[in-house]
Amino acid sequence: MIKFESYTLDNGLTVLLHHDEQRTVATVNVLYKVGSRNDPPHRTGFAHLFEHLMFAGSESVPNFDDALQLAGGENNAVTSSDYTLYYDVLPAENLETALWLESDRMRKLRFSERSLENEKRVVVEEFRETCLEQPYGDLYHHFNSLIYREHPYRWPVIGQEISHIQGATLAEVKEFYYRYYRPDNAILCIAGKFDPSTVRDRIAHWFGRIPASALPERPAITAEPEQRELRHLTVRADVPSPVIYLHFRTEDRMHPDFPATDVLSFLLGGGRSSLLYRRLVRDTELFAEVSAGINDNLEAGGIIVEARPSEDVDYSLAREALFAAIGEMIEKGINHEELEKVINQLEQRNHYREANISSRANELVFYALLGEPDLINTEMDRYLSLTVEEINRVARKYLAPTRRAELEYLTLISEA
Amino acid sequence: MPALPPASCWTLGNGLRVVAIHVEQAPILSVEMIWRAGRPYESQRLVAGATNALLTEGSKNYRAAELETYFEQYGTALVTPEDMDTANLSVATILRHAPRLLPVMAEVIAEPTFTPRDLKRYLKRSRQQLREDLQDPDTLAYRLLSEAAFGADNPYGYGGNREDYDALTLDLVRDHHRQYYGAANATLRVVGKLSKEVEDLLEVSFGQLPSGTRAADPDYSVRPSPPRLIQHHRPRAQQSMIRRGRRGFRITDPDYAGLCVLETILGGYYGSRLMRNIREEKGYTYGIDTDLDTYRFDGTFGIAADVANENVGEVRREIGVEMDKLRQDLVPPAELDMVRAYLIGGLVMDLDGPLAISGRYRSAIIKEYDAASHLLRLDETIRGISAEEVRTLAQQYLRPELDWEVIVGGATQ
Repeated sequence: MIKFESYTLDNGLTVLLHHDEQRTVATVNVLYKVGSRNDPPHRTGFAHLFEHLMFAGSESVPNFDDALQLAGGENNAVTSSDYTLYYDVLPAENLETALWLESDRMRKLRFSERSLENEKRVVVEEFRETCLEQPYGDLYHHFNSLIYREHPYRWPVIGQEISHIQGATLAEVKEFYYRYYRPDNAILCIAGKFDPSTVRDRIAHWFGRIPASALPERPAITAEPEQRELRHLTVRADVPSPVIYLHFRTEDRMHPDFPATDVLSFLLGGGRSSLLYRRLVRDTELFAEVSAGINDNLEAGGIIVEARPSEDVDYSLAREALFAAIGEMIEKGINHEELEKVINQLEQRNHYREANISSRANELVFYALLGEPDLINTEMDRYLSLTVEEINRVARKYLAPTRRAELEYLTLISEA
Repeated sequence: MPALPPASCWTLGNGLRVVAIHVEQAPILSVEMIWRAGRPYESQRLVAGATNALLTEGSKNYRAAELETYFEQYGTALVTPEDMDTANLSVATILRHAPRLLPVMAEVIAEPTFTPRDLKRYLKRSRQQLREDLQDPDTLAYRLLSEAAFGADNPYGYGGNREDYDALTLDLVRDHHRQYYGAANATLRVVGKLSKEVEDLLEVSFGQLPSGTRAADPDYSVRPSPPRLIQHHRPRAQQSMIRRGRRGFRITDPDYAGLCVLETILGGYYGSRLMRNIREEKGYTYGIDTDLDTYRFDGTFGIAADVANENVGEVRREIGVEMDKLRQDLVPPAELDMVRAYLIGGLVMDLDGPLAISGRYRSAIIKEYDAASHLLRLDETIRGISAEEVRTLAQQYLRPELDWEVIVGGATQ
């Protein structure tokens, strides 16, 4: 049970407090409800570029990192398709510094042509480093556009192409900031050691007077239409081995089927006792590696399978065996023992998260983004009440070929 | 800064040393066997890694798939964390399941099967992994630099190739296991809710393992080539990876703590000289970092950055300029204060919670130093080091002429 308090300031800022006297540190998470889903289609990668600019100085802080480091803190940020999260960890007695810094860059960022131009260059190098220079680096460029046809999820967080990043203007930066980086679009979470008797006053002092959005209108996101057909794409590139990626479209994150599809993906390909690993690696050695996981985007999620065949086997034989194993899950389903395994795994994860303050804070802001911070404690009950029949039902429903998108990422020399 | 909380240390019946940290908040139990059985001890290349990997491929009563199913059924897994100096086997579980899991873990340690089929399968997987790794420029650059700086015969230097895998035999693996996987050559790291029951369980499970003997320190030697520049051209690449550095740093060296400060100033944090100059001012790279990385018998001090081909020359020049400045000029007080605060903050965070504290002991077990006095020494040096001392260290250790350098990518200069 994670104890926390939750309330909202007059300017709309959601606040979460999770007090733990045993820590030596405090963490400050600020989540803005903006991600690559909010990139304009001609400016893909913009939310991520903007994240970089949040470190380039604000009204009374010339350099964010310098000030935080002076307080002995560490910080970083991550942009996802649904949100942008800034997190600071620092010795508990210096908590106030992080509140000052985060509130200052929420109140008024310093905009400058020079820092924009510089961060554009940095992000272009990041794009090259992560997408162009590594084998399979452009995977999500291909995979996302196969999985999504209309929704902005169809481009990766880093952006569809370098020219979109290079074209960003200071006017666009300002508009983005005043539209999305306002307290009414943000969640603040303080976790760890702090003084519970004064913390609300300190939060009010630093964040209370930041004005809410003057540009309330945030463009609607195009919904992804239902997938009704098998999709397939073959990519050939200079990569060392062929890899098969599958995505089975499920539902939105808050759909009642989410816990069951999450458990299904785990039993299908999470860990080495999963069906896919046993059949394809242990029993037959057709694959060197296979795994499955959940795509927990807020909308139109899915089950992802990644499978790398062994180098000495016939590729098409391996691929057939992959689909046969997925067919086995649809036809035979799971048993009570496997469900027991899930419950044991959840219990273990629950106890270990007690030991890590950062992961608790990250979970809290994520559930607050979903609109129900209480889910951090109650979603577990939905998992624990799942039945074998329920998992088997979602297996039949969501592993159907009409929900499947397949990306065959092949080497330049033909394997197929 | 708070001092390192002491660990409970005791010895099991067979001589196995236990280093345990108590957890009050949650009913968890995590154990890791750490043997002095890594690369410095091996009789032939790759034997240490192969032995450690094959350990979980089957024991007297369990085939590999059965082991995997058994542990995962209880919500966990047996894992073999890789380390240059040690062999490792660990499991993280909750108290309730520990009595069923630890005895099986002990069987895996004492009675592995090491069958020809397991070895064949391991070799097949490893050869594929090797071929894939060599096509990843980052891995390639790391291998080139390590081989050059340590020499290709050194345990920390060699990357391993197909021929090395071909030469592995089951006899080598069995010998390595017999010689180094005894309790007298190991430490059991424990972090969890300790009690008399837990102590008894550890005794019953691990106190019965064969003792073996404590291995003598290996003959550690280095035969490096003279420092030079190694270029590996990738015609279609838009970027080039710059990797440079040299060996000869140990965590127990008197200068180690001071070098941590110097390394941080040069490229060890966001506010570093290299990040400011090359990322924040010039936008030439997504990141440029230095790294002071130590093993049991040696260590490296290196610099890494990925930059556009056309900027390689300028970035290399600027790295030289920044090293030169630190040799010539005193670090301004404000900058030194910031580095002190940042590093002390890092130490405080490293002590946050039992898992983090146990992590500090883990490093000390592997590299065989005293965790508490090491932390004290770091703390004192970070607080007390003067700008003059930093400059002296820079003059002594920032020596571009002693560095090996690797450039992998599209740059043609």
